[in-house]
Amino acid sequence: MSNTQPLQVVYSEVEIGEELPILKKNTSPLQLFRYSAITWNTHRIHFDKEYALKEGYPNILVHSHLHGAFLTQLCTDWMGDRGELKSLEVNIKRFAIPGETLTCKGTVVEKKMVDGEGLVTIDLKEINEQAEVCAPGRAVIKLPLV
Amino acid sequence: MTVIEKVSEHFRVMLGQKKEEHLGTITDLMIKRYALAIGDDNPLYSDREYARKRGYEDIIAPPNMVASIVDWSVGLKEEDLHEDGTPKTGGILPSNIQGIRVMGGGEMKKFINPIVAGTDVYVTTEVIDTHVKEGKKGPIAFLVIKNTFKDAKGKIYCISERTVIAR
Repeated sequence: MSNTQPLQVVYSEVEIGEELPILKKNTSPLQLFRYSAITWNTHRIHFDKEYALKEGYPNILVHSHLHGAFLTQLCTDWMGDRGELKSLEVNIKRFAIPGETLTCKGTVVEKKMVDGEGLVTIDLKEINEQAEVCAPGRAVIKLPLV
Repeated sequence: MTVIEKVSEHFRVMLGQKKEEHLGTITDLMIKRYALAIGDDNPLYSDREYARKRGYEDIIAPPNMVASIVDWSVGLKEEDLHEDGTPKTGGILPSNIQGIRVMGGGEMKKFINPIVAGTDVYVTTEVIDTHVKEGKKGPIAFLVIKNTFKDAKGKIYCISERTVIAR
């Protein structure tokens, strides 16, 4: 996202089945270290490769909250500054490791007016390079009506 | 009693427990570092003037930031951590339980109000559910923890319901 005003998505123009622009993320060991540090997470599985191998994983693992952060960004990039992320549900189905490209996708599956607010529901998926779903999710976003 | 049965019993004792804590101030630096760590360059998280033009007093935190911070305290000494780096005390498992893997099993978050830099945050934590399911490799114990993040006046920012899995 740049400092220029992005095009604003509005409720009246959104259609069921519409797909959000894809967001790709490539994590690195440094990114995972920084995420452990800023969240004060001492779980070795996220920063100590030797320990992760001992637990049977091929490398350190992407944090569950970092998967959630990527899906959050997919939503906030799309909804623009006048949109409001109301809720987000994320489940972790498969681990991910640094170096893998994670692709975040979203599809509008519902839109409805509730108490004068235009709400859209987005079906979310974060998938790895083998097309396996690491983190499915669902978000509700309030959009400006016009 | 198997280890997972002991964990399940421990979770049942935790059910209904509730506590309130003062977490501290969400600083400008914390927000900028978090945004850098997740690789999100949304100017609402880094550019005060940009945020002010959009009606905020200062930059705001990415919506999921407060619910992602694992430990708001100074932390524990290394000898007070399990081999996997998780705390021996104050964590999900009792200190005498070994050989159990604990991991995040998903989270539902409701975002009520954005958190502006400088906000002083409190949390109410409540254990709201626990159950056991049979997995492919044996029983799995689930614990659901609800965190309500708010300020001193009770203004709510975010409600998170986090599922923790032990197996």
